[in-house]
Amino acid sequence: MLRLPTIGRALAGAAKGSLSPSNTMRTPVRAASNMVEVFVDGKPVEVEPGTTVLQACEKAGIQIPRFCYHERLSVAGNCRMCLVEIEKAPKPVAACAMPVMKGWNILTNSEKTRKAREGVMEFLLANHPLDCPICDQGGECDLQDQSMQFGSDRSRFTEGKRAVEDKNIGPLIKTIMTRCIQCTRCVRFASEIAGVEDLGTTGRGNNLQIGTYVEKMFMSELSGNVIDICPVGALTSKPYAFTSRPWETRKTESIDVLDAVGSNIVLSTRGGEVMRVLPRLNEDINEEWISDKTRFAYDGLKRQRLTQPLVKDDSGQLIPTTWEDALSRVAGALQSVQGGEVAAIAGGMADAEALVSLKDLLNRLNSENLCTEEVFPMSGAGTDLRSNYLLNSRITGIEECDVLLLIGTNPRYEAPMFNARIRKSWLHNELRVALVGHNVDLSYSYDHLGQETSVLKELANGTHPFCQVLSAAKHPVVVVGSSALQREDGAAILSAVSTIAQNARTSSGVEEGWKVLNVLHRVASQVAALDLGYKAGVDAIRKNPPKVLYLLGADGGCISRVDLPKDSLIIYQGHHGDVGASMADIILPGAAYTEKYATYVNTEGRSQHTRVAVSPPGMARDDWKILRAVSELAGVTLPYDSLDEVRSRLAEVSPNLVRYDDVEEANYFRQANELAKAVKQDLLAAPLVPLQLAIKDFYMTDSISRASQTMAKCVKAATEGAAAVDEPSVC
Amino acid sequence: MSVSLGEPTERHAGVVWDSWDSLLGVIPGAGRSSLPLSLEAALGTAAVIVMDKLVNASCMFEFYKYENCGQSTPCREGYSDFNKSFCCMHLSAAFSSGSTRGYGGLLEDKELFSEIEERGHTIYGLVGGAAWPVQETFFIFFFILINHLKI
Repeated sequence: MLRLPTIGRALAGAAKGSLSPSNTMRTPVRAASNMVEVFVDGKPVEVEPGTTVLQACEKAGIQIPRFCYHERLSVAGNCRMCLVEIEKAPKPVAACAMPVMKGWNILTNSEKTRKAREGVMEFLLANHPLDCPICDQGGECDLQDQSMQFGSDRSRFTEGKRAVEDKNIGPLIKTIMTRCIQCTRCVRFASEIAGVEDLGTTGRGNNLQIGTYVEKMFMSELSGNVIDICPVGALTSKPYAFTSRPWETRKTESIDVLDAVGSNIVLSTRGGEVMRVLPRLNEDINEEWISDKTRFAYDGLKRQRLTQPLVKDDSGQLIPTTWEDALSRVAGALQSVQGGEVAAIAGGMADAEALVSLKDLLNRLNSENLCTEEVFPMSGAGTDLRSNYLLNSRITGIEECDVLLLIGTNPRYEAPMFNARIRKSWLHNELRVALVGHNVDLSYSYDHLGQETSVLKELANGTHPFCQVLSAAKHPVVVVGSSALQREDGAAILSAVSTIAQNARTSSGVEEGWKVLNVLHRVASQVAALDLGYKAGVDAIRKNPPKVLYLLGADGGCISRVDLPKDSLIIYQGHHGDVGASMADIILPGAAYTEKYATYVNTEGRSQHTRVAVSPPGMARDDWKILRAVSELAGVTLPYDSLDEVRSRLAEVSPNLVRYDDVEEANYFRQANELAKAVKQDLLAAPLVPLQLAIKDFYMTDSISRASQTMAKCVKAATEGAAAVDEPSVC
Repeated sequence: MSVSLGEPTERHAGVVWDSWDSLLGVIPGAGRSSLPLSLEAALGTAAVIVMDKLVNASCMFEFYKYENCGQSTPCREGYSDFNKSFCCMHLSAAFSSGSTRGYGGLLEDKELFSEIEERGHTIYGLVGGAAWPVQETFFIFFFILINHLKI
């Protein structure tokens, strides 16, 4: 694991200039007087020294064609598509690798430039198959677009074409290596962003091939991104193969809820079906990547769905029924018991609108028993202080910190986009990472401080050697995984972490605004639920078993029939027939995240909302509307009839919930720490081991991904090898 | 530096077989054979190729193809183009009567080759370094090639 990509360095050095272009991202902004003036087609542009020709043109608003250059990867400079003429220079230069010099006049549309592009295009097409009609990249192919724009209008080609054997690199990525133009974007992505050295080139000259050296799966949680960065159809999506064309689909901008990061996505839909999921640029969260679960679990939205209300008959069978029947049964059940005998559990994918409706409903029935499945210690300041349960530093804060302490978490699989950010900072900013917890492969090197809880104690009282590193840090960050807080001694762990963070803050003398303590959540609903005043964890329900239990998408299996009295009634509202539905007496079909306008708050406390891409299947309805209907029949009508009214109710409870794309800062760390010190709980001896250790644990974690065939194939391929998965012959 | 090309050739490669008359050509690093050795003559590779008349000049194409690493497009695709063109020439030589290419094809290739240099600007300059000698070969030893191909 090299910190600096050697390929980028070597190539940048080989380009005539002495300044490595990969350094430019780290070059501090210099004084304006240091700016270099260059001309793009005669138009003057002021750029920083070390800026490449391509970036200077970009600044002047001119796009240079390119295949191998990608702004988030190191510069390879091997496709030569970006050749431009520099006035008075004898040869055209590769714009992506050449730093500008003072006074250069870059000619982006001169005869020489156009001829160079045309030549490169001709070369690239010489060995590129003419299978565009059956290529999945068709319509969004860089090679197609650029050959239309810059290529020659006739062929001089008389020879045969090269053919390359396809490789099986797993159930997600389909390879048609004959189409490859050897830009090495995928190789650079794998080694730089994903941090796996699985991809590489073999052979020389015209036999140069991209592959995994030996036949194996491309084992990365970010592997799907190579589909997006591949400029041609060499790497395409296997589940999406031959299903639709980009111009047939409708695009809906939404967010992902399969982890707590809230990656921004685009849902491509056609005819009421999600065809695929693509990333959407958000520099603060996921940049332009998404994890494989986000990208490929969408087929789980079409399976195991609850499409009509179901009630259990006398023989214990779930029988389909009408909404009227199901809702009146639910309302009857709620009315027939005392307030304290009703409880509700919210699952990991519940949206804020449904959460507030459920809370209002139960409050009106005089019940306060509202819990989330995910545990968070309630002692000390608990969830009263928002700073206690947020990723306060934010995801972008990782790029500014210099020492990062991870506690009881495996961010690589719990929050892949967060881990990608850590890796980015580790690669470019010399970030030092330490981990307390199980020794896992995080795709970067770190100091493993041990997995015993005694390490936490030592860190908290300052006797551990790493405390010196923390106190010497300029911007320390401590991240505790919510999986560590699920343990019985969660409160003690949080208290110790809070002390470590507070000590690091005081000893490092960091400025007041810098946040040290962070909690990394695993599920999308948790922060909104805690903001709305849900109790974290189902302990209260276990201690005081209710007669009616309302599960709002609770599929974590944290409570079962045996925890409840025999005659209790379980109502499940949600979108998948999973753990929760299988123990329910009445099932109300809800909408999944692709089917509703719904608010989610990510682990940073950033409020975002999904959009309707497809309508809910069958008789399924929006979750808050179901709850509103139940309330009316139960005689405690909720005072909102439209989404706007629900959102104004959300704003009443917690205004940050409707300030979309905004992160509401939280504070009172010192007070939280003082309260945490009052926690009288001892750390257990059991080591800190997160649930997701290896990549096979990553794919199936919630009701949607458990229903996904693609994810099941991934688990199989990750455990038994890529060859173990049968693929249809058409792929 | 500033020595004539003959001196190092004689000193390191030994006397050219039989006499200087049997010398076919010399290719300095990447340049034209008439220049005196200097850095300006692109002797960056510090390699000099000396060929006598027994050498088949068309082997040069094989040589440069072999030298090519395959990273950058003009090099990778360009050299296979060279060679494919040559395969075609061999083929067309075999079927010279009534062939679609034949001598005319060779002239087309000549045209193609003359363009290759301006198309080729690569990471390691192999195209620049190889296109010149190949071009020169083509133009200077055109008669040899024709002879070789028996067109």
